[in-house]
Amino acid sequence: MNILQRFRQTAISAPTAFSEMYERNRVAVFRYIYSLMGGPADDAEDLTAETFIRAWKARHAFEGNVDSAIGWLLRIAKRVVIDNHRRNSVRRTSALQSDLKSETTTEEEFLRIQQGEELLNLLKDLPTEHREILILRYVLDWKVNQIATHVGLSENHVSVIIHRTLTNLRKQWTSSSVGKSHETH
Amino acid sequence: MKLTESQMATMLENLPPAIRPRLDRRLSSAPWTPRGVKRRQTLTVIYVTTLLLAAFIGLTPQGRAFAQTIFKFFRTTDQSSFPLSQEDIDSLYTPAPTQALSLVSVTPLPLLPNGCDDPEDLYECEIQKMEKQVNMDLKEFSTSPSGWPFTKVESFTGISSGYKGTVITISYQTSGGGLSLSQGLGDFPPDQQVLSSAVERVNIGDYYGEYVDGGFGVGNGNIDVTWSAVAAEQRIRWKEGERWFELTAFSGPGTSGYLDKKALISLASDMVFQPDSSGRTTPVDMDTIPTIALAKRICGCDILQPTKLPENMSLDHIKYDPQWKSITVSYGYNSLRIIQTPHDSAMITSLDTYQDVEAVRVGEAEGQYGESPAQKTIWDSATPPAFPVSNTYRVLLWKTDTMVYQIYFDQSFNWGGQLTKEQLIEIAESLR
Repeated sequence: MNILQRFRQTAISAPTAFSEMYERNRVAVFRYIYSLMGGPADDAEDLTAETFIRAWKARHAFEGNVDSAIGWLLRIAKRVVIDNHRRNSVRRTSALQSDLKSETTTEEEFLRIQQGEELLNLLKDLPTEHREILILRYVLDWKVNQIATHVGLSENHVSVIIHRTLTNLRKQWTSSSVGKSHETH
Repeated sequence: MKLTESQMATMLENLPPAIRPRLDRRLSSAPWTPRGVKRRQTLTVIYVTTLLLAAFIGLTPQGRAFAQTIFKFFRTTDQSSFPLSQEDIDSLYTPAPTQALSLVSVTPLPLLPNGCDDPEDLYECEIQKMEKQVNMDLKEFSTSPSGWPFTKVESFTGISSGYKGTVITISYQTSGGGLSLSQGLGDFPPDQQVLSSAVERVNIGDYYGEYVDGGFGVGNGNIDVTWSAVAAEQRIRWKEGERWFELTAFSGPGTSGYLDKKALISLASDMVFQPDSSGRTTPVDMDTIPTIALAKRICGCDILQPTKLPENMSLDHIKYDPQWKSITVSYGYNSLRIIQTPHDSAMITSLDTYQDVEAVRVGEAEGQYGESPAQKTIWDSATPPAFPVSNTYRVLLWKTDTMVYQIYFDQSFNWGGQLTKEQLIEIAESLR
């Protein structure tokens, strides 16, 4: 960013506008990061905070309005997650287990945790682009056309990816231990 | 169990946990929050203020002067008078013993000290030598101070136990007083206190300086040290970065070469590291010629020097009187003077006017020895307990075919110690 850009006025350069953008998008950014990195929640919150701090520093380079800021934020968030992954290539704890206290966990909750963990593992095994598209579609509830614009593919292409990935994910789920265990219940 | 597409979508939707207050707490002071904005405004004000202050201090003479007002270059006191200790009183008012002085052999001084072979270039030569010695480019007056002949440049180290720096002093002298420019790196050397109300802030070029006119001293017969604003002593101290300067002038109005406050500040402000020596004139005060070589050049005559002198006594200065063509070589702060005058122009050729005169021989020459009657001096003219000096002096005169020589020894200048007639003759016979 050159010196002149530092003083450029954008839709989110004012603290009040940025604050509004933060309130509007913080949950989506958190959910995106959590799903992309596979938790835990503490780390996802830390990276969410880092995403908004980076966005603040880059606010003068933002093009668009507050409504379109989420795409820009997710690109920053993805970069943050990748950087974090490089820093911590080894996961220390199971993502979901660390988010719940074991002594208060009921059998039903435990099963849900296991399912969630398995789903995260399956997501991790997906190609990055497919995983991101699936997250955008189901975790963030984006429309196909929004996803297509964001990832730079045609809507048809995105639809195909979603369908195939979801089908593949369902197959893997069925063959996974949790899936089988779920079947016995 | 197989999941439907819808069930899988729901599982994905429910995958992330709910966001917790921890995130908001963590970002409660983020730059876009009211707290962050306020902090940023405060930091901006501090930054801008610091920037403006730095610019003011760095870019304007007033700023540089202001920045240095936090320093005090002189040690000051609010007391204009304080009593002497009994020890000081005893030291000041007890007459020095008139012990006999002993003579030692000395080597006559070379024409010029340490390889400076042209008297006209004495200043440049001596400064260059000193710069090599202390490994420092000295800052000097851009031109010779009007009416002030250069006498010497000296360096001093270890002037007190607490001061490790080196002081370099360039000295000028006239019959009316002295002018010295000292400089060094770091802190100012320790010095006597000055009266705080006597310190004036001045600008030396772009730098802040302090000017003091006056000094503490003991009036004749007094037992108090009192500040005197007419002490004929002016000092300016200032700093330029790491280097400190002190310009001191000992001379009163009306005396030769007197410089007032304005002239001193002007002299200090115009200093340079590399003065243009092409236009430099080296004024010579006939009463205080600094070297034997220069005196020889001026008088066009030979100048004899003694090879025996009282212990610890050294050359002070040389005086030339064009009217009588006489050369006076002074030693030991003027206590011993050797006067050499051509026979045909000498005003004094005998000591017949003295009361007690006796004939003596100086080598092969005939001579006379006499003692002057006691004279009152400023030291014993005041009310008790002034210094009770009996100011006698001893004279030896002898002649050759072409020259008349006189040696005067004045005890009052030496503050103790006496030479005998035989010792004066020994000094006379050692002249080479």
